[in-house]
Amino acid sequence: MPKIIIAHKVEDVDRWLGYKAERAAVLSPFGSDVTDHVSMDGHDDVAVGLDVADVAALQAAVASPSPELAAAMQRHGVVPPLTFLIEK
Amino acid sequence: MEKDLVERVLAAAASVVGSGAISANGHGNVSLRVPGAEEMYFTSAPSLKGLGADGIVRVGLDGTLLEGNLPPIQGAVVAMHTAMYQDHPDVGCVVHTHSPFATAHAVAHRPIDCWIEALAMFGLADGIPVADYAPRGSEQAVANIRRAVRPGVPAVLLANHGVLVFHRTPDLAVLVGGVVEEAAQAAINARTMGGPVEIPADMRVAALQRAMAFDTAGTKTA
Repeated sequence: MPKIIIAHKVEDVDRWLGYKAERAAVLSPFGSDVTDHVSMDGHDDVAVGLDVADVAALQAAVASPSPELAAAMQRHGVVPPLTFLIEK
Repeated sequence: MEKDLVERVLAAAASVVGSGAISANGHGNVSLRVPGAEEMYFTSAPSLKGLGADGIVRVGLDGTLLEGNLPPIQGAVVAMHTAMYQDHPDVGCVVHTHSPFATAHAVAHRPIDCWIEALAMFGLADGIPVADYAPRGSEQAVANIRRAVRPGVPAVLLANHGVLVFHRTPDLAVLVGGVVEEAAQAAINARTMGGPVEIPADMRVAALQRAMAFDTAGTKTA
């Protein structure tokens, strides 16, 4: 399974980190080993890493989010655009 | 006004009416942010039922009427819509109704807790707060709304008034309005049997996880 990094900005890093368990739940259908990363210099840039079985399915889900996914993104303070990086 | 945006506002208003999360007289208002401009399209008729294109106005996010006829009763609540767009750059639609069961909670000054799993599934796992009362749309009322709104929570009850929902798209705003009303109705019914019981925090996450799993699997056909 390729390791994917989804990078984006957030409204508030502490708020985003507060939803760690919920984020893992939201992303669990797409992959495993969900890890959160934050900017070391205090910026509002964050990234989520996970091992993904079907990269295209994840990209499609994020591009056209279901109501549940869209609600979670708003709740966590995700600021588009989202950038996908893949392990090579 | 742009025909496409007018039609989108009319569709959103019809969707609110269709959802049933509205009072019998249809009182309420819907607005859509104009992409790339500091403006919104706003319903100016007293009821969302039977709304036509002549019931839409264009308003600047500073509250200035830019196009159309805005009656006093609707003009009075413009500020609570513009405030949501000003404060939340991701918000594209604001819906205000007097949906009966949620408004009952607003009148009783009782927040809605996570009593039904739809709240956990659609970004309301921490419930819906109540903004203190002040005359509708007044500076004090808007300040109360701003103080009550929790980051990432797309709804607030307006004490002694109604409900305000704000989300990225009209579909999501209407969906959340319906979920809030459903939770409020269930809670009022449950109060005849000892009162509603909140879903434990870990089970709210589990409910969201299960919903996402089914979402990802998609529609099954046999």
